[in-house]
Amino acid sequence: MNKVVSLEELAEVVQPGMSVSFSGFAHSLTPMAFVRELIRQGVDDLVLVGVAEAWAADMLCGASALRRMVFSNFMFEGFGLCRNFSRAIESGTVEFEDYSHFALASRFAAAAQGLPFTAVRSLIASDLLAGDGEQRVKHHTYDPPFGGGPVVLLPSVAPDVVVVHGHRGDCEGNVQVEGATAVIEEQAGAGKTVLATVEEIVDTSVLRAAPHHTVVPGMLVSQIAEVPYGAHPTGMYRLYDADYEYIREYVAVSRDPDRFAEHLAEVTAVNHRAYLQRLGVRRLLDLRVDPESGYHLELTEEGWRA
Amino acid sequence: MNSKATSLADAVSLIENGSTVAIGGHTLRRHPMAAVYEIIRQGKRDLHLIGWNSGPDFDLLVGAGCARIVETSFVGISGFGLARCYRRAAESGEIEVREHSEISALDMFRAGSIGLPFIASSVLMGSDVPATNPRISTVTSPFDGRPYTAVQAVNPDVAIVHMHAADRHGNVQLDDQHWPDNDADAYIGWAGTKTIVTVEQLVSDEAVRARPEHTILPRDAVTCVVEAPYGAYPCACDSRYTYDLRFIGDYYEASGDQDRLREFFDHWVHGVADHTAFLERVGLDRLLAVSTHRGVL
Amino acid sequence: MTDVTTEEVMAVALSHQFGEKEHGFVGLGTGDRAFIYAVGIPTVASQLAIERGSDFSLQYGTLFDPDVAVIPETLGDPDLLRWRCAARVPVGRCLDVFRRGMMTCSFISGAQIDRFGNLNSVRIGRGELPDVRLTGPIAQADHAVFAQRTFVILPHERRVFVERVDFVSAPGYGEGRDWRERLGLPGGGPAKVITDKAVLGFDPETKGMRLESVHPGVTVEEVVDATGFELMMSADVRATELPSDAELTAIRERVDPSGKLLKAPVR
Repeated sequence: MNKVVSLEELAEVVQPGMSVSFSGFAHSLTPMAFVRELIRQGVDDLVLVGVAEAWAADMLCGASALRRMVFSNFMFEGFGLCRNFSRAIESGTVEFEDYSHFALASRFAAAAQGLPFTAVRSLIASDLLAGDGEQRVKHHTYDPPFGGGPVVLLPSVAPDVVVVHGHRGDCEGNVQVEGATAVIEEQAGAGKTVLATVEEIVDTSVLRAAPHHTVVPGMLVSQIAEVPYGAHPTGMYRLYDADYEYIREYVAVSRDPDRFAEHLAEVTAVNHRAYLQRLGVRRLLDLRVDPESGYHLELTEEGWRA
Repeated sequence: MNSKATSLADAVSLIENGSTVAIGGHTLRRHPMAAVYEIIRQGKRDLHLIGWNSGPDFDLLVGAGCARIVETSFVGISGFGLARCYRRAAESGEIEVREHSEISALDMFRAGSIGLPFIASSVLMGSDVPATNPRISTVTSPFDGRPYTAVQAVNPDVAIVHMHAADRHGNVQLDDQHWPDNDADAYIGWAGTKTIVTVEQLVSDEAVRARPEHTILPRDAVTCVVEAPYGAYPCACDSRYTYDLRFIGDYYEASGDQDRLREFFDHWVHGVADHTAFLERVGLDRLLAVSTHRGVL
Repeated sequence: MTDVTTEEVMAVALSHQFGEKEHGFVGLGTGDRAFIYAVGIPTVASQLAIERGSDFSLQYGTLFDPDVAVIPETLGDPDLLRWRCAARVPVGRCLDVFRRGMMTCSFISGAQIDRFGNLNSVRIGRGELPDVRLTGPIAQADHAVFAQRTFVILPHERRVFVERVDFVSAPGYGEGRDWRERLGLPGGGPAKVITDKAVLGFDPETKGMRLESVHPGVTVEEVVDATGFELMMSADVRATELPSDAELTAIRERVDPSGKLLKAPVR
C-alpha cells in the first residue's frame, strides 16, 4: 500500500467550506508548508478548529481564508499577539467560538472515542458560556442524576480534515513524532480525513524498530507527503529549532496589514522547495538543535552554565 | 577544559608541506571530503598520503598536485572505474606508490594506535608488495626460526577522519547505525600524532554523556574538532546520507581531462570560501536528495 | 533447457565445490560484471550449497550471515546498514578471520592471472613506471595468503590469462610445485578458476593451470585461443555439468528470483 503523494496533491483534499485542524502548539510541530500551500491554492471559507496552533490561525486569518474559528488560545509565545487573528475578530470578518484548552481538547477526544458529547466542569460560571447571538458556544449546562453540581456538556468535534506534521512516516501512513505532541492523538482520532506531512518518509522497518514513537497509526491516515522542514518557522523537537529570526520579522511586519500582505504574497507565491531555497542552506543548518537538549547548542550551553 | 573546536581552515593549517597525512574512510564512504577540499584550497604540497581503502579523497588530492607519495591498499572510484588522476600520476612517476593489502594497511594503523613497533604475520608473503614499501620488511621469528612479514607502525604527522558528532572537548561519537569498518578510523585517529576530526554536528556535553558507548575517540586522542555538516559529501555518511553518484560521476568525467579537471577545482574548491559556501553551491535540492536520515539515531 | 545462462552455469559449477561445512568471504563489490563475479555468483553458489544441507557461514565483509533471501533493493550503504544479519563485527575481527585460518573458501579476481594462478590487480607493464596503474592489492593479497581455498572468478580473455603476471599482488602457486610450502604460506592456494568459458584447476604436481571443463556452447579451441599461455589439459576434459532442473528452479524461484545477483546488478 502506498499513500505517498506530493504536498500539492495533499493540499487539494481541502475544499472551500470545510472545517480543518492542524497539529502543533505555539512555535512547534505545525504543518506550515501545508498551510502555505493551502493559501497558495487560494482555498477559503474554512472553519479552523484548534487549541493553540497560532501560526496556522494567524496566517490563514491574514490570507482571509477563514469563515469561522473554534479555538482556545492563539498567541505568539514570547513575542506577543497574533495580529492578523486579532484584526479578524475585532473587525467581525471571522466568526468565533471560545473554549478553554481542556474543553476543546475534550471535544476532540470525544470524537476520537466515538462519543456524542462529553461532560466537563471547565467553563462553569465562565463568560465563555455566555454567548452573543451567533457567537454562542454550543453547549448545555446539565445537572447529572448523581449530583455533584452542574456540568457542561459539549458535543464532539470532528473536523473534515486534520493535518499533522511528524518527524518521520512510512508509505502506510504511520507517523512518528518526538517530543511534546500537544493534542495530536486526539485530533487524528477526531478527523474525518487525516492527512500527514513528515520530515522524511522511511522504510516501514525503521518505524517498527521504535514503535513507541508512532503517535498516528497508518490506519487513520489517508495520504502522506514528505516535506523536509515542513514545520518552518515552527520547530521540530531534536531536529530543528523554531526560526526566531523569522518569527521576529513576521511579528514586526504583521502589525501593518499592507506590509503583511506583501510578506504573505512572497512566502506563498512559490512552492515549499523554493521557499526553503530562499531561506538558504546556511540558515537551515543553523536551525539544527542539540540532540540531548532539543535546543540550539549555544542556548544549551548558556542554560546549563547558568 | 578548553575547547578543541576550531574552524576547518585553522585545523588544516596544522598540516605542513611534505608531512605524512592519514585520511580515513573507505572507498565511497565517509572520507573527510570537506578537509580534503580545504587541503587543496590551502595549496598543500609534497604530502605522503596514507589510507587503507581510498577513493575520491586521494584522487582529488593527487589531481590537485598535493601528493608526492601514496600509501594504501586500493584507490578507485567504485562503480565508475579506476581513479584517473591517481592512475596518470602513477604512470608518469609524479607520485610514488607504496602498496599494501587491506590487512597490512590496517596493521600499520593498528600498531600505531596501540604503540606496537610492528605487527608480524604471514601477511603479504609470496607477493611483490613488500618490495614497494619500506614500511614492510621480513623478520625471522626467534621462536620457530621462520620468516614473517613485519608491518611497521605508522604515526602520521596528521590524521584526519570524519565522524557523526562531538562535544567541544573533542569526545567524538558515532550513531547507532554505522558501518563496522568505521573502526578503522578509530585506529587512524589514535595513531595520528595530531588528529583532526570533522563531525556532522557539534553537540552538548550532556548529549555525549547520555550515550558514552557511542564515543569512538575520546578527547585524549583528538587535537581538534571541526563542525562540518555533510562533511563527507559526495561520499556517504552511514545512515545520515548516501553518496551523490551524479556528483561523483561528474568528477570522474572531469578527471579524465586536465582542462575539465581545472574547471572542476575552480568551481567546487577554489571558487568557494569555506565549507558552508560549498554546501550552498551544491544546493539544498542535492543535499536533501542524498539525506536518508536527518535526525539523530 | 536451452535458456540456461552462463552465469547460472558458473554459479552451479562453483556450488559443487563446497563441502558440508564452510566459512566463506564475499567482498561487497561494485557494480556491473565485477559485482556478478565478486558477489552474485558466490552468493548463489553458497545458497545452493545451503539448500543441499551444507552448514555454510557467509561473511559479507563485516556482516555475518546476512539475510540473503531479502537482499536490499540497492546495495548502497544506507540499505546495507539495515540488511538483517547475525552480527556486524569490527573491521579488525572481520579481516583477522583470514589470518586465523578460519576462511575455508573465498572468491577473488584480478586484471591478470598466470598459469600458476598468481593474480595482479596493481599494474600492467614491468618497467620502472607502469603502463597502466590499477586499483591496488586490496584484500586479494590476504585471501591468497590465508584462505584454505580460493576460487578465482574472471572473464576468459587473452589479455587476462597471461604467461606471467606483471606484478604478483595475490600469490597463487608462485613458480609452481612446492613453492607455497617452501615459503610457508599458510593457506592452500587457488582451488579452481571459473570463467565465462570454462572451469580450470591446477595440476597436483606441477601446480600448472589445466582445463577441466568447457561450458555448453564453448569449444576447447576457443578456450585455448582465449588463453595467453600454454594451457594444460586434465585427463578427461568434459563439458561443464549443466545445472539440474532442481538447481535452476532453486536459483530462479528462491535464490535469485529478481535477478539482482546474476543478471541486473544493483548499484
